[in-house]
Amino acid sequence: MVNICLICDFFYPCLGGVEMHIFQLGLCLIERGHKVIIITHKYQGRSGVRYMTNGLKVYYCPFIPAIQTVVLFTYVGTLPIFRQILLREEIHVVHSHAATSYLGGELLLHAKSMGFKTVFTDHSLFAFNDAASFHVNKILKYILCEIDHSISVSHVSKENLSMRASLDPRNISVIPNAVDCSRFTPNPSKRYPLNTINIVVICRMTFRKGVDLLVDVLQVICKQHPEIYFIIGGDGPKKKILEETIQRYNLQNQTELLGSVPGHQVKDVLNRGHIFLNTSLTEAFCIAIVEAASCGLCVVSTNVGGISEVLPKNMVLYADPTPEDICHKITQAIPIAKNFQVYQQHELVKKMYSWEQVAERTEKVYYNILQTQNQTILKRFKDCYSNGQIYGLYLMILLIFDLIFLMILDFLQPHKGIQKPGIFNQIYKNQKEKFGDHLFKADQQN
Amino acid sequence: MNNQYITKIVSKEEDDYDEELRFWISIKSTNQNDHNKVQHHPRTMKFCQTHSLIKKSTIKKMSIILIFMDYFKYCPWDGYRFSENDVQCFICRRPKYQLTSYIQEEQEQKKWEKILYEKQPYDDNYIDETFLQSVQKQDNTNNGPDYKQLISKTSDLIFAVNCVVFYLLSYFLMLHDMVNDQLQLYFWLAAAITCLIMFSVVKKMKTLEILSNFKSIGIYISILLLFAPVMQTVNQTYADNTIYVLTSVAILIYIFLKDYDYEKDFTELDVSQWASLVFSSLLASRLHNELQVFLMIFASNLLFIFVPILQRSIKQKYNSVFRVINLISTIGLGLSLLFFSYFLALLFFGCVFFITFVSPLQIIWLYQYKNTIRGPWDLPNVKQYD
Repeated sequence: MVNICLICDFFYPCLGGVEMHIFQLGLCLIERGHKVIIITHKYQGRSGVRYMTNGLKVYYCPFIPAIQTVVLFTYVGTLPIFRQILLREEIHVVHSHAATSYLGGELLLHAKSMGFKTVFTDHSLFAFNDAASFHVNKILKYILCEIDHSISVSHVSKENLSMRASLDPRNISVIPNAVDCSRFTPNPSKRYPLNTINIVVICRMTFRKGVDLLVDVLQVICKQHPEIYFIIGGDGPKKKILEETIQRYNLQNQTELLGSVPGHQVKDVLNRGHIFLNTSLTEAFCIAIVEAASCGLCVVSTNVGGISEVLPKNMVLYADPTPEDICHKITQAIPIAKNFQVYQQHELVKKMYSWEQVAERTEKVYYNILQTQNQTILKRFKDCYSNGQIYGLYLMILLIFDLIFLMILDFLQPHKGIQKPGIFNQIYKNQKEKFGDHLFKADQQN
Repeated sequence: MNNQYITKIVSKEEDDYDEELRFWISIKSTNQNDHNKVQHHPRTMKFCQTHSLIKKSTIKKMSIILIFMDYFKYCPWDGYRFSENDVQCFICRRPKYQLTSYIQEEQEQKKWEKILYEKQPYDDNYIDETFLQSVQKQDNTNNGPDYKQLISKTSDLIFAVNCVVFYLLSYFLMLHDMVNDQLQLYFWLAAAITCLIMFSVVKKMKTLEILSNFKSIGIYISILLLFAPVMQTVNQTYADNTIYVLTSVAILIYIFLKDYDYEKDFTELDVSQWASLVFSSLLASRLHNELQVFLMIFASNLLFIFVPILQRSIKQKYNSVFRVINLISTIGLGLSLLFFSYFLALLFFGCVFFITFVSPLQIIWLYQYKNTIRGPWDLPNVKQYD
């Protein structure tokens, strides 16, 4: 049994891909018999310790988010609380997610100073040639210079991560994301409006999700095919452009803007459509496509990043990231979507991805790194210095401060004085129906 | 024959027997149905029961083997004649009791594919030979930009520097009362009118437009005249040193951040143009009377905000004329600086030489270190809507 600490800036009540990944991974690891805690920063009205399903303990620490839920990088500000938490819960492995989450990065460095094993999971792709990427990559290189193992969600993401952070590719495992297929079941009777081919688009309306492409596609397709009806869900900075385009070209009869779709309603929106359109410009692993395929929709997507590895070629129509090619592929998809094997596709997708498999592979990673020895301080200094001749010296000074601060904390708050927490009693697992769980009897409801 | 075989097996040494038994057990039996059809040979049953290691399943297997073993005297595939001790066919290597089976080739390990939807029989951190092959590093096959092209591009920069030096020169003359104020006034007005005429000619404007331009310039001049006293007093309290430092910084900002490609529309002022206003108002505060202040600000607006508009239209059509003007103005300025101090002239010529001839060499030298990495993670070029 391994005691695992998952860290990320992004967690409930924020709902997105990374948050769901952490939550599901934590739950599946608990099912396998490990102990999992999660550390994030405080949200509006949520501060302190909360327990979620199955005893998943979440620490909403009082760190203040600086920009869009990401905590400001103060190297020593987070150390006392973090040390207390790790020693209380007797953690063995510290696992951080998301390259843009600097809480995770900072706590990884502290965990290394305290001698724990560290793992990092990368969820996004970054290019090398724009200004934001330079800085993110440089900081990532520093955070990952001493890490034990990394996980990436697709093969392209593995190449990207090994180039960005200069990591040995043998220390990067590819463990894809998964989708809970029981929550995304097909239901062709819910297709609405009738007598039209409905195309569903659900994305965050940002530049990276290709809203500009969608705008061009809308104009062409709505004119060429009057039987098409677009259902567009999602919110973001580029939503205004979509609204303007719809007004300018009088496409109100053929489009519908839903605004932000809450998580539990996504399935209903997907069930309304025949085709799912994804126009992202870059994507490490597109969960939206798998959810749509699980709901029995025919998928049309741009062939960027790791999308071509996610589903077999006969389930997705790949297009180049130009409006003309996307329109061409949609035109090809319309006759396919009219007679589509919806339930068969759902069965196929069900076998492909599951969170239990992800947890099993992650567990293997943990067991592997727990067998390795801890690094010496000299090795850590050398790793710091490998970042650059002057930058490395500065990082070494930071490291020395970290270690001195740890010594002071050890003196002020000794290990023996830290109280152990209560263990979440999992007796209900043995007799689930006694506690109201009848899933093993009833069929899955649609 | 039957008895011979069985007696042979029974009479062997125990170790040999175990080996052969292990051999038979290791070969998988393909015919499961035969278990039910065939009866167990009594002799084998008896013998096997004495051996504690042998399980019931192996007893079955053994009996089947012993019964089928003598069905084949020759291998049906290649005609090899079996001798008594043969366990398998010598040529095709099939075991003697499995002669009707196809040879199973050793299953090659399935090739690694770059997919995520299937669990592959490789480790998660397996590295394939196709790793990083989709990354394109732009090695510098072309040797960078052309030297002559770069030299021609530096003419823009030289023109900007010339404008600044000319402005500073006239400011200096005015400050030390070396030239009559009236002369300066006529000069700058004439310059403005010349620029306007050139602009109209190049843009081929109609009479109405030209007249409306004149009118707007007249309004502009009157407003400036009104505000000249205000401009004089605005920065008067600053010390001289502060003024000089701020001016130098503003001039540098103007030169470095100037829009040399003339992409922007001239409806909004750029950062560099604001910087030019800043340093002209700073310098104007040191002057003696209002006419001088008005002249300096008018000159700065003309040189740094209106002349670029003119420059853009001239460059499009009469590039060589522009270059000639540039050359003449550089030489003229350099010579006029000689009147004041040799050092300044040297500095000016040195700067011009450095910018024109030495920095292109530097760029070409730096080009060998240019390193762009392109891969499947790059954002594609998409027309953006704002």
